[in-house]
Amino acid sequence: MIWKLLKKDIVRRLRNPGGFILLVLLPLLISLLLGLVFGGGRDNRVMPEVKLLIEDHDHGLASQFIAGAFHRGELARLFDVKSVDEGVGRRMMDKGEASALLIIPKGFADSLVSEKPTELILVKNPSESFLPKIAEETIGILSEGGDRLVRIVENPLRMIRKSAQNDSIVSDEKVAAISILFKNLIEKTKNLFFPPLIRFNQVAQKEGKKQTSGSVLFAYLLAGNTLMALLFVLEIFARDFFRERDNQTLYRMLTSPVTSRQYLAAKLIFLFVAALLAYLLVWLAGLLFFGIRITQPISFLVLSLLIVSALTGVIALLYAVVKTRTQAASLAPAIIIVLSMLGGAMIPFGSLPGFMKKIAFISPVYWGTDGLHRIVISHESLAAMPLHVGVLFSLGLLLNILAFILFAKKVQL
Amino acid sequence: MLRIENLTKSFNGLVAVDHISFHVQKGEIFGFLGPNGAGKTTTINMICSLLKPDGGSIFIDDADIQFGPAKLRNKLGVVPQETALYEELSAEENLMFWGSLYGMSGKALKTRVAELLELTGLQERAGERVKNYSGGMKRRLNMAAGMIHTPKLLLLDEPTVGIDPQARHNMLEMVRDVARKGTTILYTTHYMEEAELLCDRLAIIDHGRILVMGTQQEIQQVVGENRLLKVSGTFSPETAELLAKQIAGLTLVSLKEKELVYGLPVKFGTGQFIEKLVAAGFKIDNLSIKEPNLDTVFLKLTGRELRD
Ligand SMILES: Nc1ncnc2c1ncn2[C@@H]1O[C@H](COP(=O)(O)OP(=O)(O)O)[C@@H](O)[C@H]1O
Ligand SMILES: [Mg+2]
Repeated sequence: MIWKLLKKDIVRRLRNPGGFILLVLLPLLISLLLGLVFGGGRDNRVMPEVKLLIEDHDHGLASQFIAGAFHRGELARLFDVKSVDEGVGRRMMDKGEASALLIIPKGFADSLVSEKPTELILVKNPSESFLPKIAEETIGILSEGGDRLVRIVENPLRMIRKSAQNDSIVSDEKVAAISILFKNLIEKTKNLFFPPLIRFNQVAQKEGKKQTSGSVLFAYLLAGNTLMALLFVLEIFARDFFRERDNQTLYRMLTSPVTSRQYLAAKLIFLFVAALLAYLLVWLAGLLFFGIRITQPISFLVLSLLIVSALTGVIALLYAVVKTRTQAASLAPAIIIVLSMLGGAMIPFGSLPGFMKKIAFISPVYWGTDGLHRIVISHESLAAMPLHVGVLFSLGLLLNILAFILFAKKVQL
Repeated sequence: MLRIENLTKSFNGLVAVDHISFHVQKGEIFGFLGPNGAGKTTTINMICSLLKPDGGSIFIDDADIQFGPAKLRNKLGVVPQETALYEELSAEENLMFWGSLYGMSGKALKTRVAELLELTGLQERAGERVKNYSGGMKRRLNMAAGMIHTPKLLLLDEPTVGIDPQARHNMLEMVRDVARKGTTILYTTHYMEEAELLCDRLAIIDHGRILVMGTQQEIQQVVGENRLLKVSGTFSPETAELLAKQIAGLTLVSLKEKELVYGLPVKFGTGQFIEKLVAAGFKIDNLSIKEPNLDTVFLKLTGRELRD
């Protein structure tokens, strides 16, 4: 019986897929936009601030370039960079005073010019899950850029140096040769696949963890945005409770052999399934198009089920408590935004005011977002976070049962 | 088939159904005639156990519905006052779905759906979403959905409200058809004509109370061979009462400040009577004459017209 009811709702929903598709696209688009903000945005509050220490052993031009990059423009907003003396960085990291430490080795600039491979060393704070990751990515991009820059300018540099050595007037041949060099240069800029000259080495502070590339920042944003969008998806689907009542189909249903319990169970299952589908589609897109890598698929899936059931419970309970469609419509956005806010889905958790941090644990979004960050960014397994599992599982169970009981009272007229 | 005893229901002090008792025999079309707010829907809701009565009992096939309404639901079909359909689904999908809830499936269900689509004249647009249907089409489908499982007892709650005469004719025909096939019917309406055309027996209800009940002939005896004259204008109440005493057979049905209703024997000429009124000093603004029918019964019993 429940399956018949469920099938009917699925067919109905498929007839109007617009809202559903939009809500799957929404978190992706928001994350993408915010991700782009990373490269030049206005509101730095969407991003967490990374405390980065730079220990410069080289004091050359290249190291100044790297250190300087963090003080300019958008990166300056994202990073709180502190230059420290040799040896100091390690000590501060040991005390957990920063997210990451970048060590620029002696002779870094010389190695670059003489095309010898060289290394940047990044020490990451393992107690923080994703902030060091962001540092890692940025430095990766910077070193790749620096690398490319060196390769692009080296030939013209050599040519010009030679001309200067010969101390002669530049001949027509040389002008022609230089222009060909510049042409090559332009072509080279198109080529994105240089073997990296600067190797970028990361060292975890205490225990080394396997690192993966991929858009960490995007994953970071997507986790929160997905959960917030999920609440909105659920809310839209939950309106069906009122729609069935208003268009009298609930009335007709209850005159048939369908019991109110079967009806409610089907509705809750539908909410859960639809939300899970939207959720998985979002992450699938994240995997396919945004380079997110999930190294703990089982943990990810289990956490996802827990998250979706807890959030289903939140919305179902809301609809079980309110009396009218208007009440639901006015309450829902407020509740969704508060829960998302507390959960760090709108503003990075680290940037929340202290009192909000203290009460964040009441929001399932907090447990979900944090759990996702730890799985997708830090590649932890679910076994490492029993509290998250416990809280989400209990919330899912409790909220849904409570919603079911309250609803059952209501439906029986 | 359906027996109701002393059924009572009130909403926050307002008595919607007031000690109603009646019974409907197997295969009968029983009419429930009353104006809006009379308590028809409330009664139906209690019969299909969506609403708990404050008092009284309901028996379907001699089984008290208080004990195991779930089992009785297969015997019961309801056509709600408002259309209760999924607009996103087609007529066919709606019928298939509602049928499946009663355990119907496969060929039997398909055959039944096709039959009802033909009966309602919707077969040509059966695949189209209900959203695009006209009001009349929705009403017909609403009716079909209530009888998909060929119920033993069919409750129809004002199924023809707001549709054109042709569609109404079609729907009444459908009701007769299922009744012929053995379904017992409780038909509520506020259209006197429908009750007259359709019902074997009927009850007229107002303010939650049954005013009169029986076959049409039995009910007609309430007004007898009397026309009803509704007079509005200026008159003195004493004169109005006096007149009723003077003329044999004339009854004063109701009396308000500027309006009264007389019951006038058919043999008494109306023209002659109006002259008498004028002679007695009546200033008549408006006057209407009702031939004896269910409307006049209602008017006689309540002083109001059904469609007030
Ligand atoms: N759920 C309810 N709450 C309060 N009053 C109601 C409710 N349902 C019906 N009523 C009142 O009960 C009376 C009978 O209503 P109803 O049975 O719907 O009449 P009908 O179907 O004959 O038009 C009306 O006065 C109506 O306002
Ligand atoms: Mg009604």
